[in-house]
Amino acid sequence: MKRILTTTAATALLAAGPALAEWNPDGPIRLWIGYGAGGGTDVQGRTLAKEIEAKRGWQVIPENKAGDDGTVMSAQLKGEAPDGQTLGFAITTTYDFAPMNSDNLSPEDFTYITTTAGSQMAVLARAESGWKTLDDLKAAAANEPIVWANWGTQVEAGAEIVARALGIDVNHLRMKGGRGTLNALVSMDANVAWGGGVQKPLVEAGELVILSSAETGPVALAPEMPTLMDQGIDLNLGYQYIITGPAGMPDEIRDEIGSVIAEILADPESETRQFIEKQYPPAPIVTQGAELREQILSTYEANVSMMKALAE
Amino acid sequence: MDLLLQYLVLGITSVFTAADGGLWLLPMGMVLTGVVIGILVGATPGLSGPFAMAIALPVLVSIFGYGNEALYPVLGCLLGIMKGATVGGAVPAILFNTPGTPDAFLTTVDGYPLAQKGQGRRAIQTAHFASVVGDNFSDLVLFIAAPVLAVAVERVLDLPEKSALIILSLCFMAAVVGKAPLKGLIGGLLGMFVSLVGTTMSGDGPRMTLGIPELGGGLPLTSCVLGVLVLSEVLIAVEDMCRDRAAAKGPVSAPEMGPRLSWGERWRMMPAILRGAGIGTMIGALPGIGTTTAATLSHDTARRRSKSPDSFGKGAIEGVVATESANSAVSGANLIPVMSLGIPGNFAAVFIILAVETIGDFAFGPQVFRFTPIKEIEGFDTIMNRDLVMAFGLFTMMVIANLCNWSVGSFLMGQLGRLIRIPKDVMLPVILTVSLTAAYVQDGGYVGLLSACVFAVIGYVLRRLEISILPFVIGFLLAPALEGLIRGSFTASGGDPWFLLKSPIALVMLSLSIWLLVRMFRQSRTVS
Repeated sequence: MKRILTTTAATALLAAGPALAEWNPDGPIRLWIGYGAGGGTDVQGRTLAKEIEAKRGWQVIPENKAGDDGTVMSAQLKGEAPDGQTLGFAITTTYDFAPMNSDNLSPEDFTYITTTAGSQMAVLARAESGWKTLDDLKAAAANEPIVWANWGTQVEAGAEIVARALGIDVNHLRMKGGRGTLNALVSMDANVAWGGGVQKPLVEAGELVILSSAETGPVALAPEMPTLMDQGIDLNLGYQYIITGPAGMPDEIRDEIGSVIAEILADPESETRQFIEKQYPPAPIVTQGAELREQILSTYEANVSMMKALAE
Repeated sequence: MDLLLQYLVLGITSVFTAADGGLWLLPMGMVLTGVVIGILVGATPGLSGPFAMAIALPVLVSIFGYGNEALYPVLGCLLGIMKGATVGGAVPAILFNTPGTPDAFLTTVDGYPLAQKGQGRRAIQTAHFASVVGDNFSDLVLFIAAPVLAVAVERVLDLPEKSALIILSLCFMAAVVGKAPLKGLIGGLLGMFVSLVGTTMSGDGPRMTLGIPELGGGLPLTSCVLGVLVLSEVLIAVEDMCRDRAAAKGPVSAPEMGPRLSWGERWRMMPAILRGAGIGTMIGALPGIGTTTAATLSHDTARRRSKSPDSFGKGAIEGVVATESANSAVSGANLIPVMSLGIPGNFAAVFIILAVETIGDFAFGPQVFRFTPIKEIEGFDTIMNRDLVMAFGLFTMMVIANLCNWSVGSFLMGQLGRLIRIPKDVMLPVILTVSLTAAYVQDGGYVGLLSACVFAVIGYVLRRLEISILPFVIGFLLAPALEGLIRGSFTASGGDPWFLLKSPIALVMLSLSIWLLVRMFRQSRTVS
């Protein structure tokens, strides 16, 4: 609740001052989407591009650069000019976790402009398994091998942390994106999976169940289910959708881009906002500028410690 | 059953309903456009359906963009081209002894002598009728078989079995495509090798990118396929043209067309058409074998069963019936492994998969055919398997394409004689310009352009070495899926090194693959 209030307040504040803007791009803005066509990031990015154009008259060209949790995109973004005309759209994990596995990427390589929405990270199982909680999963592990579907190093480490906390063995299955993990679960290649938000229709159709939230609070689809932290597992895998630029972007450019996005996300008529409300409820999450940078850097440090602890 | 009907109705209506609920005729218009383009392309010697699909895909994506609303018009047009080209290919084969597409090669055997005897119109109408009936038949089989197969796959096949199935498909394809199976295998392996460029699924960063960050996400698929398939063909055509210039022939004139085909004759052809369609459908459902084999087998069967086998090759109408019904039946059946498993069987299927991957929000595979109960939640949304609605939408567009082939196809087929006169000097620069522009627009500017050019050279070398391009392209396309499955089955087994050999089904499939490989080596020894 506290996060929602902060978000709404920040949104209202930013929405109040759009007219102060001075900066205008010299040409089209390239919005590099760090994931493939059709997913949640892609839909948000393309809708947002259309609405920025309508709001400011800037030409925004979305382009998919998928691969490796957004790092294929971020590795290219790093080398671009910080003039506000090349932006990246990915998730916070791209900056606060993925650089750990890369020799030439660091969280300092980017200017953090704004977040747009937050995940609905949860532990999922098939409804037909009959499991309702993590304890049911633990009990089942005594009789059958547990295969946990995930999409990246961070969430795989998360699955291992949960397994260790429950005292069970799990085998990990790496799929492409959230949609991939759900397909693995539905087609019975795995019996547990992480879902960041795309699970909504399958949970509502009663095919999948949420065993636990992996956010700091409960997820909207199962408000009664406890978080991992509530159950004594010190793990928060929640992430936000984020727009960035290369490091060294002047503050006025960063703030102007941030402010137009905040305006769009504050508008109840906005298509992007409506998509976020539906897919990543309950509302957009807008953290910007210095506060956002601080969030990324501190989460990066926390993730480094988590992986060190896991390796021990 | 109710649920099936509900999804069927939703699928059919989704083709005609826009996002705002209004009437939407764009997909139908695009299917019609596709069929017309397909027939024209099929009737032009030197061009083929996959050729036109390769060029059309990037152009269509740049016009319609991404997302569900783009999927129907883009796929509608591609399906139309696929179906139109199979029908159109018969015209130059019959009238001028020059098959518009390689699939129509056998149509020349009986079609051309018929035209020489002054029965060109009858032969063309026979080809059209047999082709369209064959196509409808195989579509019907697709509609029934794909969901059943997909459900069976979901229930029976686990990760190791799925990995073994892809290995078997690749071996099978290498063994049956082209004249030299070993060359097919080399082509397939080469395709798999180049597909390694990009990122690993282990999170260890870029692989084989030569330090070029733009290649981090892998080689741009559409541009590479465009290069290896279309541009390499242009290079070969230019070279052949230079060589043949001295022996250039003058324009060819159309022979006397003769009488029409009567409805009585059509009716009497039906058993033969259905036999050809059955052969085509069976062959088409297997990956890689393709239309030429289906046509050959069907023609041979018809000759052996005929009361006058000697007339075959001298203008037997049964010959035209057998080849055209079989080669057209391949196109629908080829989508069975695509829809249920995501494994392409021929070039046309490759482009259908590429379109789906490029546009996003939909992927072929067993998960498409889940019959999720449809529930309406007030004030929110309707819960259902939207992929299944889309699959039925695609089926609907295939039926529309067939209707277009029946009606427009019948009219166009009679008018196509003059396409043969388009000189290659005009066609080649147009194809080259459109392909390069398409590669530039589709795949991130110069990266797309350069990849297309590099793959054009690869394609040229492969063709000159008589290595079939199809295993190369399919290896290139399937390798990432195979890598994902093998990595997945290894980790899901808890790191068991024998993970592929512990399931009897996987073991059978792998044994079959090894048997195919041994057979290929033996064959190559016998040949040499």
